[in-house]
Order: sequence, then C-alpha cells, then structure tokens
Amino acid sequence: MKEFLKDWKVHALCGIMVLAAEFIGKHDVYLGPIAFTLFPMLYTIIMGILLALFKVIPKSMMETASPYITISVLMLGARSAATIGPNLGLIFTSGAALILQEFGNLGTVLFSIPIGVLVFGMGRSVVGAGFSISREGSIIVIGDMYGLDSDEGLGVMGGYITGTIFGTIICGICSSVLANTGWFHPYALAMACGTGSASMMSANVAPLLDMWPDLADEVYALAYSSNVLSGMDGLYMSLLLAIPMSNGLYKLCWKIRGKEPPKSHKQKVEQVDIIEY
Amino acid sequence: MTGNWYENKWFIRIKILVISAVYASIGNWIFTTKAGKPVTPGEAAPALVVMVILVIIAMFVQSLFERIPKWPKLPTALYLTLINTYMGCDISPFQDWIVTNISKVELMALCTPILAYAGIAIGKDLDEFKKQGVKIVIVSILTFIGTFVGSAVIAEVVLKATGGI
Repeated sequence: MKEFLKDWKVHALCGIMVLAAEFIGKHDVYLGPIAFTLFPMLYTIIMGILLALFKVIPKSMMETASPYITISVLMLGARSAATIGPNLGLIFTSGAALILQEFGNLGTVLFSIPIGVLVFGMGRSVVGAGFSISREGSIIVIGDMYGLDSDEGLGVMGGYITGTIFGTIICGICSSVLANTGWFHPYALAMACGTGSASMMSANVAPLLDMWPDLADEVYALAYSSNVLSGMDGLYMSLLLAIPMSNGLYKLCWKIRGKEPPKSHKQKVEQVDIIEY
Repeated sequence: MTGNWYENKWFIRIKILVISAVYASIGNWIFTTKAGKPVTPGEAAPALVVMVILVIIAMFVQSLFERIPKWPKLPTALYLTLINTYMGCDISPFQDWIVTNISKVELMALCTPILAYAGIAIGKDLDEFKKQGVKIVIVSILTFIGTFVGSAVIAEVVLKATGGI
C-alpha cells in the first residue's frame, strides 16, 4: 500500500497547481500594439519553472511526472469526440486547405536557417534546430540521418528542450497576437495550430476559442485534425522536404557570407534520452 | 505479469486518467463559474467517465492490433481519433449524448491538469537547457513562430481560393 501511494506528492502538487492556476484565471496582456491572453494552463508551466529554479521539488518527482503527461494528454483526444465527428463535413470541405497548410510547416525553414547563418554565424547545429519544431519525430529523423552526437543532433536536442520548456508559452502568445491582428480567418488559424505536439496545439488553440466562442467546436475540430495530420505526415515532410531544403539554404547562406560552410562535428554529449510526450 | 499490481501498466494508465478527470472537473467548475455559466463537477462527471472509458478502449484496441506481427507502432491518439470520429458523427447513435455532455467540459479546463504534470516534469530539462547555446534557443523559438505563421498564411490563401471562407 505504501508503494501504491508513493507518487501521491506528484498528484497533490498537480492538484494545487490546477487550483491556483484556475483561481488566477485568464488575463489579457497589452504590450504596446501587441495584445495577447494568458490562460491558466500557461501558469502551471510557469509555476513548474519557478519550482525547479528555486529547487523546491526533487528531481525524482519530475521524473515521476514525466510519463503521466503522455497518458493524461489522451483526455484531449477523448474531448475531440464531441467536435470532430459532428464537423466531419467542415473537415472534408476544408480538405485542400488542411492538407496544403501542412507545407506551411516548411515556412519556418525560410527564416530560421537564414537568421541562424547570416545573423548568428551558426554551423550545422542550425539545421538540426531550424528544420522543424524539434519534437520526437524530428529527433528520430536527425538521429537516424546524422546521429544525435553530431552538430545537427545538438541542434535538434536544444530545440526539443527549448520547446518543452517554452513551447507552450510561445505558442500561446504567438497565436493570441495573430488572432488579434484580424488578418486571418479563425479557420485558417485553427489549421495552423496543429504542429504535431498536443500540448502546443492546446496552447495555440486556447486564444482562438476565447476569441471566437461561437465557432469553438469548428475551430477545435480543425485544429485537432490538423494536429493528427501533422503527426502522420511529419516524418515524411522532414525527410523528403524540410531537411533537403535546410541543407540547400544552409549552403546558400554561407555562400552569401562568402565563406565555406562549416562541416558537422561529433559532439561529446552525455547519453541523450528521449522522453515520449 | 511482472511486478506488483500497482506497477501494472493498465493500473497506472487508469489511475492517471481518473486523477486528470477529477482535476479537470474541479478546474472546469472554477473556469465556467468565472465565465458566468457554472458547470458543477457532478454535471461534468458523466462526460468525463465516458471520456476515460473511450481512452481505455483506444488503448485496448491498440494493444490488440499490436499483437499482429509486423503491425506498425502507431500513436494511441490515432486509434482514439478514429473511434471518436465514429462516436460523434452523424450516423452514430451516441452523437446527441456525446455532443451535449462532452461539450460541458471546457477544453481549456481539461488542458490545465495535463500542463500541470508537464510543469512538474519541466525542471529536469532546465539544467540541460542552460547548457544549450543561446543561438540554438533563439533559432528554435523562430521555428515555433515560423511553423504557425507559415501554416496560417497557406490555410488563409487556400480557404479564400476554394471559397471555404
């Protein structure tokens, strides 16, 4: 029985964080022309960072909590029963946009690689960090092509960790800012939410649901479908398009700088472990 | 079966799902109260119970399929989505019940417990994060923004072109 309860601290802390976050509630933030909304779910991430920075919770608790994310995230999938089914018609009529917007995930290559090379003068690690949003699928692709102990591997692992820590916060703010510009239809923004990571998808979609409550079901259905789609095609997109494009741009940008592009090195990193989200 | 019953994969899965559902019901109560349309945990309970059962069915179906030799390892979410799409679509006898009840659980309230677990787990990556170069961090942040903006622009253009909006 004692072992049965050994992880109770993790659950109790989770409960306290949920209560605190929900009681703070959502707040609008205005920074000059940029407006965005902070949601309870983002506060839990910030609380987690603070708890770790001040070393309030032991590493063992963090390790216990990690696999629980994978399980609990499925509740989001179950929630989709109420949205995808009834909106199948909308998903089919939006089919062309839904599929083509997947190529938008490549848009990132066009500015992450040039900025990495031209502004920061980065070596091969820019390809690892810049070709995708560095989730599990990207780690597998890079690990397979270059090895995780290469410069590219260092880049993708850095991206993975950045995404784990700041991904949801950045996604939440980014989608909120874009929704406030009024340039995009909610359906277009909804489709953009699906990037292949369930937690980033929820952070992306939250400001949209808040802004267009009447379209909430349609928006969520599109976002969730787009996320499942990205999860399926992500690997092929990376292998066939994103990495070749990144390599081409990498060479081109170094040519613009008038220098020979740096080659990849093998890193001496400690064993890198991949956590399933 | 190896190990003790409380280390059993299925037991842990069900435990986490139930705890998340309980927290979500309380979070949902606070969230909906603030929005002016309170949904008590009791009202949300039937939907949450069904959601937990749907996830368990999806996991069970997955484990059955994975007994087929050479069956590819697919994410649980894919099985779950297929089951749920049927459950909620027009030919499903459960559509009405599912739509009225599950809609009572606000998506945002459901996300909070999940990200709370993620928040607790985050600390183990912080040290590694500090070791990464600032440049890699900035490039990664650019990719999150670029992916979102790129997809939104294409979706907007295609939806306009095909008359979707």
